[in-house]
Amino acid sequence: MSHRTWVILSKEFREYRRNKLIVGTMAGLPLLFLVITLVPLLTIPAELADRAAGALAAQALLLFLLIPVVLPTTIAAYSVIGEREQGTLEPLLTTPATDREILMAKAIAATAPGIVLTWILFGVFATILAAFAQPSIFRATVKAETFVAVGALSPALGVLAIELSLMVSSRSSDIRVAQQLSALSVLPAVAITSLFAYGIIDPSPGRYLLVAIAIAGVDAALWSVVTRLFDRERVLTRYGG
Amino acid sequence: MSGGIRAIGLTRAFDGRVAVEGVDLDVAPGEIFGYLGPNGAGKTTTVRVLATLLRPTSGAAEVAGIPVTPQNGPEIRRRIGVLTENPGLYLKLSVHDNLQFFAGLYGYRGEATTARIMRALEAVGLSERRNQVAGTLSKGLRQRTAIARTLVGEPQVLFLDEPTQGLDPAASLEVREAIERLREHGVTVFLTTHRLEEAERLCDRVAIVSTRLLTVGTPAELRAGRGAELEVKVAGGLADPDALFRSIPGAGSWRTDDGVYRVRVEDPAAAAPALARAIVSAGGDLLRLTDVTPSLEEAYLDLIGEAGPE
Repeated sequence: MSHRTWVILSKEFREYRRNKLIVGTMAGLPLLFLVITLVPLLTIPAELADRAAGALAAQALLLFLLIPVVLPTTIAAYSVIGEREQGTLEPLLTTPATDREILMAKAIAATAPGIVLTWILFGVFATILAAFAQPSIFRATVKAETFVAVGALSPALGVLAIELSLMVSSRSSDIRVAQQLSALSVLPAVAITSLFAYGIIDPSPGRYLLVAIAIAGVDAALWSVVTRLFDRERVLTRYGG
Repeated sequence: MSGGIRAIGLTRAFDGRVAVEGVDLDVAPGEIFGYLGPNGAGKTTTVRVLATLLRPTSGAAEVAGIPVTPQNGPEIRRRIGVLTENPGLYLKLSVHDNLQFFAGLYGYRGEATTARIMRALEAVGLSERRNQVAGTLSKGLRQRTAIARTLVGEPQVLFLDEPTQGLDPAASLEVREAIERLREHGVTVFLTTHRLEEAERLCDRVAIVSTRLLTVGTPAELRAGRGAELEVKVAGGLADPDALFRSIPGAGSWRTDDGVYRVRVEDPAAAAPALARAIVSAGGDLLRLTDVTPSLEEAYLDLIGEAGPE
């Protein structure tokens, strides 16, 4: 990572900390996900736990895989629109920072909090289940494949979503259209997650890892497309400073 | 030509609409150069092209001795500072943090950054405000902070786009004083404005533009270029002013407004005594005869009027 990417990234995090909307979104959305996930798992009657464990575990995993997909697009929307609204986009573009450095910083700043929060949240989730859930529910929900999915697949999906979002933003001529289309960038991640969650691809640690590696490969290939599509002239003249 | 700006036939069009047409410029290192024009004259577009934010449609330019091309963008931007129309500060960050961020983007770190930030703040008289959150500053202070931001990279060339737009007279004065202090730093300043008194006070030379470049010169040259005038007031008016003014050597066109005549002359010192004698000989009661040098505003309005609507 270049020095300039690091400088932009540090600034992004400093701004996040001072923005109640961002802090609220980062804290509120994952907590909401956690509560939605935990309530059925903790309240299911013991006699139904064995039969329902698999379905409930799949549902829980789906939510954990969605956090790093949904959260970055929300933060990225602020990151770009915030620059535009403050009029800081043009001053940023007049510095020696290259397109690649700016994009890299924005992408990491948007993706990293979601991934880290997902990992923390999963730790809390597993701890609560270990302490309070039926043993069958805990065994079905917290297992090797879940760790691989949350540890490897969720970051790859988060990066994919943010790259698609950046591609849409780079080519849209209207900021509102960009925002609306960016919301669609979560769809590929939702589709892949659903294939596992609903058993269309039989979940196993190896399969999760393979899919994570494949998506990471797609992420790497897409990154060069993202940087080529970014056109500072278009951003400046269509979106304004 | 390190530190200066040169452009030859610089043109930029947007979807067939020409914003800047065939502009030639030669700004010397250390010069404060005014770029005057009405709204929509292409001033901001010229700055954006020279700052490598927009590609020229045709023509060529050099900034700080480097040809303006997309490949040279980062290299040119390392040597320039740009004050955009909007101050563009991160409002939740302090003045210091805003400057630290931009210093980092110019590649500075550690002790060197702190020293640069302090020098930039001192240059605009804002050292005492360094810990204040940018969002709590007045408009004038924000604009001065933005000027300090453009200085942290210690640029060779500074582009200031309408630096006093939207500011009240007191805030405008603060910003103008900050720009005047830049002269001591030897920075080349390219100042776009439509405030003529600002250009006249700050600039070594000014260009007047209306999509095309209409003229370039020192403010005094531009005023003189429009010709000197004598203002005459005669009690009861003149019987045949046209014949009288044509009889004066070096006199040109004339106009009258509310009993006051203004006569364009080549040399006011030679024409004034002749005119006074002619008026008295014609039986006129001369009340006033004044050498009226056109203001930069009049020269500007003449040129813009001649150029017509774009």
